Amino acid sequence: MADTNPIIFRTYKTYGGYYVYDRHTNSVITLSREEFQELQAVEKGELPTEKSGVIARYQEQGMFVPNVVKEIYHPQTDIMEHNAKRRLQQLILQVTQQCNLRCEYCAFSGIYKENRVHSANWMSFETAKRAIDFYLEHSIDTPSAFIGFYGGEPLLEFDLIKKCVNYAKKTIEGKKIYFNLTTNGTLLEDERVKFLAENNISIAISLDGSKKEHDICRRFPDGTGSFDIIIKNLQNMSQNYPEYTKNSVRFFTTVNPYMDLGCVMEYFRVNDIIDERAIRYNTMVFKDLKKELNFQKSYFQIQKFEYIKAFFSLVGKLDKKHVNPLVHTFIENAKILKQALHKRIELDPVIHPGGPCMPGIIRLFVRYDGALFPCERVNENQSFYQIGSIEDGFRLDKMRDILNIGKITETECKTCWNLQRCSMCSNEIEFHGKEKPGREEKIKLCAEKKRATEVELYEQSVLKEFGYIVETEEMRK
Amino acid sequence: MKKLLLFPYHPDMGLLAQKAAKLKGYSIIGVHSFQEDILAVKAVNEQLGCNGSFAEMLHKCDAVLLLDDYRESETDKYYEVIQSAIDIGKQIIVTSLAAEKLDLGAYKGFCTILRNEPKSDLAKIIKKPAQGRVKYIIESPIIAVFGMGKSCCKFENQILIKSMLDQEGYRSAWISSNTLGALFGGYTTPDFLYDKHVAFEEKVIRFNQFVYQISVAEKPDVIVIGVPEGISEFSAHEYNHFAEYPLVVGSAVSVDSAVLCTYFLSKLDVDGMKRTLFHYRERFGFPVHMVSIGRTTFERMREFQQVAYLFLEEEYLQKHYETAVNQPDVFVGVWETKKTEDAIQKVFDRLKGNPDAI
Repeated sequence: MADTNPIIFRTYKTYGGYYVYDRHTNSVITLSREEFQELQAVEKGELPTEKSGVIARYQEQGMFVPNVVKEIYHPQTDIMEHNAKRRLQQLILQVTQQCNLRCEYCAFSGIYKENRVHSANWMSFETAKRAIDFYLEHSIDTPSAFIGFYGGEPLLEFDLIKKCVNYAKKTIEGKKIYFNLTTNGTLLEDERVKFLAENNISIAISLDGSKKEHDICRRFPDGTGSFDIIIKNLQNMSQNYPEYTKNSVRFFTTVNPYMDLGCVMEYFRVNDIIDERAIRYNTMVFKDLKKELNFQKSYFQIQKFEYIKAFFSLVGKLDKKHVNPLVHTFIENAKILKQALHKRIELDPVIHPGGPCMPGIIRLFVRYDGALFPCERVNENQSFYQIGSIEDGFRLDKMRDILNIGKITETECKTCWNLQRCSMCSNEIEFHGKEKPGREEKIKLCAEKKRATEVELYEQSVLKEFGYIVETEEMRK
Repeated sequence: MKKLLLFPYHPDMGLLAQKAAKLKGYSIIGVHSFQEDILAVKAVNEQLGCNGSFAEMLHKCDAVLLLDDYRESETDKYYEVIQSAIDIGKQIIVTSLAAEKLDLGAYKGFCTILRNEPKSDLAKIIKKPAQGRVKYIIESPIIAVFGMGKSCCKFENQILIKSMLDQEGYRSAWISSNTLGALFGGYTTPDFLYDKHVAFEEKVIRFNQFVYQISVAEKPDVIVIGVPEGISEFSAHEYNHFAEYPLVVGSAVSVDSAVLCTYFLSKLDVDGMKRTLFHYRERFGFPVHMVSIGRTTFERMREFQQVAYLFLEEEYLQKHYETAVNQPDVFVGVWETKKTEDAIQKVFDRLKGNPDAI
């Protein structure tokens, strides 16, 4: 009969040491070779838990506690109801579903199964006003107002954006207002830039490196590349509004299989218009693609090289300025993991794997027609993600389902060694035409998540072997 | 009776409106706030039976009371309100926290800090101030109201205790942990407690003498002390002065009975709580005879490196609160008025049973 209260842990070794990850305390300890072998025997079922002297010894220090998990339930589920009434953080308005470009890898280009494509739908000012009012009515305790404009290409609806900014500024007196806008950069003409700069609207421009690399994917419907026009706009912008350009403009580079990553990085390193520090790399989403796409071999070589540089930087052998922004996330994650393992947070009987943020509360995405979604990244065609409307308010039942995605695999999660380290958003799970994410699809993703944690723990241990430490004040955060 | 107009919106406003009948020397004629608070303000004004515009309320009031800013708001409108009030000859009263945030230099002579201090002269009561580094025995029994941290309903409990004492005919003195206690006749906590240049030892002596002064001058049947902030560090950014204030109070005076205020807990771990009560007695000298579960909770906001306080609504509290099987009847939710009054009564009864007490 299976142990209903197992002690859950994971052993692993590096070239330099032997380790065990204890799920209950979310911590890693270094083992001797003998201890490692004994724990491996327990893991394989060759040695009963109660006969392991190693487990008994570490139990005296609060580790290897038999499984306490009784239920998979997100601890923020109950408070979500309150937060939905009074503490919304950011509003994102989909001012249009139309775009003046037809980028190869775009989420709305038609290469993804079941996702929407570009269309002539746009938001009316009436809807936008109601969305802003809805946001304000539901954010009384939030210190600042964050309002974002999203598309399609939002600057196609520049007049609407202007009206929204003016309306928000008229309606909001006490809170500081932060506006932001995500754009392809082709419509940043003088009049528009003047308004954006005067209202300090942060902008994120999609730019995929040099002309050659950028224009492979980011093209107008007639096939013309968009690089030249963006650069011309940027030159004008930095000439006329240098401070604004420096402080409020960021660039998003989507790493995709069509580009040569080496050329992209080289371009950002040597060009004199764009500050390399303002670049944020993200990777094209490979979920739900209609056809298979693969990266070139050089992509993996570059990734590995930058990864090694990041590694050297973490152990103090290389200044961070030599590490490409491409792998800055790796550096940040290594710090976060170190802090988390240091804290030794014990498991609660009622818990949920990490990943889901409070849907609609951290980011509230309002579609052109007033339908509400948890953020701009989810598929608007999936009813699972429609969490209400500005007319009828929030659907708390749907928000609870999105937040409690771990419920789908409750039995597995309860005894999974990765429970404390797992991070999974429902948006990562393929739907395969179903109305909601299925168990089978989630379990497939669970395997990937476990593998990712194994790699992270391995990296963390190797970093420690090479002298990686995080400053004390950071450990306290 | 001074008629007050409150600005801007603060979650304590609901409590002020609800307890308006208990105010001493003040009345609230309405509240005003930023444009985005319109619905919340409307609800409070309805509670107060007020439906006038800002201009009408401003004309009706004697003074505008500027409250703490709990959301780091822009200050422009504060100054607009101040100027509008001054223009028609109204007084401005400011809480000390609001005064810290604003630049009131240009309004000197128009603004008063909300404060209520004992009228008696400490020098006359304590004969040898030069050798005054002495702790005096306080004859009056003391009830301390302390809590886990900020905004855990300590103030609400203090108002209730004070009004029940008044109702039962006891002569009581109250040192409020919240400046707004001054509106209900409570003394404001003396500034030296918060002064980072005053040593712990000095704070203990001075607080003891402060309470002694009240005790001698007013001879109250009981003294209620609201202990500001909380009993432990929450995070690197909300450290509650590492429990300095309860330690000062606990060292300065001998507390006869204490009420612990917690944040909202949907279900109490009674045994765990009892263990911590023992700890509070040992560490602070607070014998806890009542545990009041608050209507607020908190959230650590990693991205802003701060703690956010969540002011829960009645409906939420009713829905999510579950009484534990072995829960003693002195462990109550602050929103459960009758139960809370019964629990406070038990605290009084306990003191009555002490021949030296009430």
